[in-house]
Amino acid sequence: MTPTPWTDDTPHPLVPEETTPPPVADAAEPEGLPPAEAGLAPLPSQAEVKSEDEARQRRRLWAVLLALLLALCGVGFLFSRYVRRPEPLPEMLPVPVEVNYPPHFLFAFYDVNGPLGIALSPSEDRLYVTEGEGDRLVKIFDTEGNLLRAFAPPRTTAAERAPVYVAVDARGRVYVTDRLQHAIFVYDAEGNYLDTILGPDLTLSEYIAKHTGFKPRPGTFAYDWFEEEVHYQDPQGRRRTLPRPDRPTWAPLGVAFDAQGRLLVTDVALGAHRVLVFSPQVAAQDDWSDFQPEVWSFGEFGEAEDQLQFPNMVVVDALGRFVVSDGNNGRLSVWDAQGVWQMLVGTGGGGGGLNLPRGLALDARQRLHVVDAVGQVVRVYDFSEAQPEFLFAFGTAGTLSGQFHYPNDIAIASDGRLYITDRANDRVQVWSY
Amino acid sequence: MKRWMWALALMLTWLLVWERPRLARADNGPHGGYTPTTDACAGCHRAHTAVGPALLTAASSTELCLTCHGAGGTGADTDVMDGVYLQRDNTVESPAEGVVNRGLKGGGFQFARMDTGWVGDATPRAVTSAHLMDGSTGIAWGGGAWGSGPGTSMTLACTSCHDPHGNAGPGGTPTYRILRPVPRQSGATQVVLDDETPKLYTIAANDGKYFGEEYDNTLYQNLAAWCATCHDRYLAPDDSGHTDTGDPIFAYRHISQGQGCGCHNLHGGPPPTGNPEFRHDPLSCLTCHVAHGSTARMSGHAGVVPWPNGNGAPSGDARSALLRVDNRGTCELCHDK
Repeated sequence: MTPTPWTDDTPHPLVPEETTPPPVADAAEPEGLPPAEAGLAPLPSQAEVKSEDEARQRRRLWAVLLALLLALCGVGFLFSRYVRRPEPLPEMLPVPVEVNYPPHFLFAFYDVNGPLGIALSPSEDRLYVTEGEGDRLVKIFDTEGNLLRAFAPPRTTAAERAPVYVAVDARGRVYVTDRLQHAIFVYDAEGNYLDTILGPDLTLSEYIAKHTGFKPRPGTFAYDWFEEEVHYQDPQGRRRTLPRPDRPTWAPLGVAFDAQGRLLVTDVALGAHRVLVFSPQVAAQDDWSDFQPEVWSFGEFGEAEDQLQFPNMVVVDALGRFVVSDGNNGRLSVWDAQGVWQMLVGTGGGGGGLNLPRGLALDARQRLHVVDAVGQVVRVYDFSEAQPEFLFAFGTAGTLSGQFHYPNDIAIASDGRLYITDRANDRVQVWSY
Repeated sequence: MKRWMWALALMLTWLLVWERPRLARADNGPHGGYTPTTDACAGCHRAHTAVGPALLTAASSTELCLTCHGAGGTGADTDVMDGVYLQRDNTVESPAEGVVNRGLKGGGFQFARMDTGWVGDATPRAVTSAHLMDGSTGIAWGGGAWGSGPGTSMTLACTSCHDPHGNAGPGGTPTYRILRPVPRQSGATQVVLDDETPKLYTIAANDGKYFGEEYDNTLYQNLAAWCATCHDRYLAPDDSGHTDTGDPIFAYRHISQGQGCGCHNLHGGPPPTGNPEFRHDPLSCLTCHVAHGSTARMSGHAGVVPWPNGNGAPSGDARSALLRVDNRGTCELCHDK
């Protein structure tokens, strides 16, 4: 129905029309109608009909006003909530978002010095962040950026440790690679030290157990590269030492877990520059005093297509492929589930071209987020199909909100939040889709 | 309506064409080896959309260097912040370019593994003095002409001394530690330092003792001249300890470039009481100092020696002046008084 346009000659729809009062002087019954005495209810007069219409209109008006008031309250609530905790609509209203568009900057937190690695706890309520400067601690934050606590390898000073990347297994245990210590330190969710993976087939607790015949309890032993002795407590609580173990030839840098619970480590020992794949047994064990995991590797040092130079991080996509950030070669290197090289991604020009890829994270839609440390951006690729495709990039160089100054690593939560270490800005940035 | 839609379409087109990321890849090492069609330039530079000086993708060139060479060594084995070499074996390099976790020859910028106390303790410690490298401004002591005051004001970054592109020598030849023949702001004539073969990044001593480190003689002499491109008036040939330069601050100076212990050679041979183990031939700035940073500690007289501009602060350990040994151990170890 086409609405009638309102003009000066027509009554305004919201203004009651002036009507001529009905003639009442003539009290005669209208012709053709039975008299009232006949037992039938009298018909409402025109005045009564009009009164009912007006009442109905008033009710309708009140309903509209009430709806508007409620809508206003809703908008007011969302606005005040946004002011208190800025979050884009998809996060406030959890609706599936299937289109590909860059995320939005939310906020940043700053209680970190030169942050390098970052990982989320399994329940996604905690962040573990490694520091490359200052006291070089591993810090625990809640997802709003409040510092909860910090920890470091036992018996080390800031000068004796260099934590780089961090991963958390399904049980919440925290694995931190350390370049100066050439080891992976393992902690519980609170940061209490548990053990040290000294090499692909050696842990500190295993070394002590082999030499003493008893299984040491977590918290009663320690070893630091710069010492010549391993320190432990015997079952009677007496402090003892052992000669330091032979140092395995490896240099763990990146660390991650895949969906199967396999521990993935990038090793940048000279000539190696490879990816080590540990069996899920590592994450399944209660302790590592008998550490005999199945380990295999792929990759070697070099610039050729199937070689790596300072691989920083590795993830496994839904197709079972290993995707490696091949840092100094400026590309992603893709290997099949058996460790056979498949393809390079991120080479060449255009928006998908990588400068110095470091941290990697896949979201539930198989969008691979690559932190490009020198490009000062995060580049996102679609890895849901056999042939990966570049989608978009976000971030620019600088020190303002949403700008990066040599970012290094990224973690993604299932609610679409992204946590990015912004190293030279000494902060962690939080973004969201 | 149509006009509005046209405007929107134009805006979207502009965004798509101009605002898309225009970055490219770097598939090569950053320090040389560039082919005529290299893509490496785009790894760090933008020709028309650079954010930082030297057409860099970010404001700070030092942070660019530390992205690989910083603590954690995420892209290199020479961790200059910790002053250590991180590599693990010598299966590829023969001989190896260094020993794992041993101190770099230049010391470190934040920490270093130096037995400056000469007591057999090379535990990593915080440095007490270091060359500026974060883009801040300081005084290059002795910089400038005779009689021109204590020194020259300079703003230093890693790239003031090092050329990240490598091959900085004449005709594109490699230089020692990719050092520039003419350090930035020095205004000097060039001093070319031929690269060493094979490269060796760590000190020879396995106990953290930096004093007594041996260098190639030619390199050693040239290094003194190279340091003097900024610290001009510290370059002191034989007999400088007996010759008045006329400069009110740098009148008599210890030899820093010369054959043997210059004064004693002049007077007929080495001193009878000198310590032959540490008596260098020739002498150079690097006989007593490191290039990056030192953990040496200063106390007593050594901690209160005024700076060339007469100031006494900061004193104590901060007065270590990149020395290789605590206090004046560098004097005593050589002269054995």
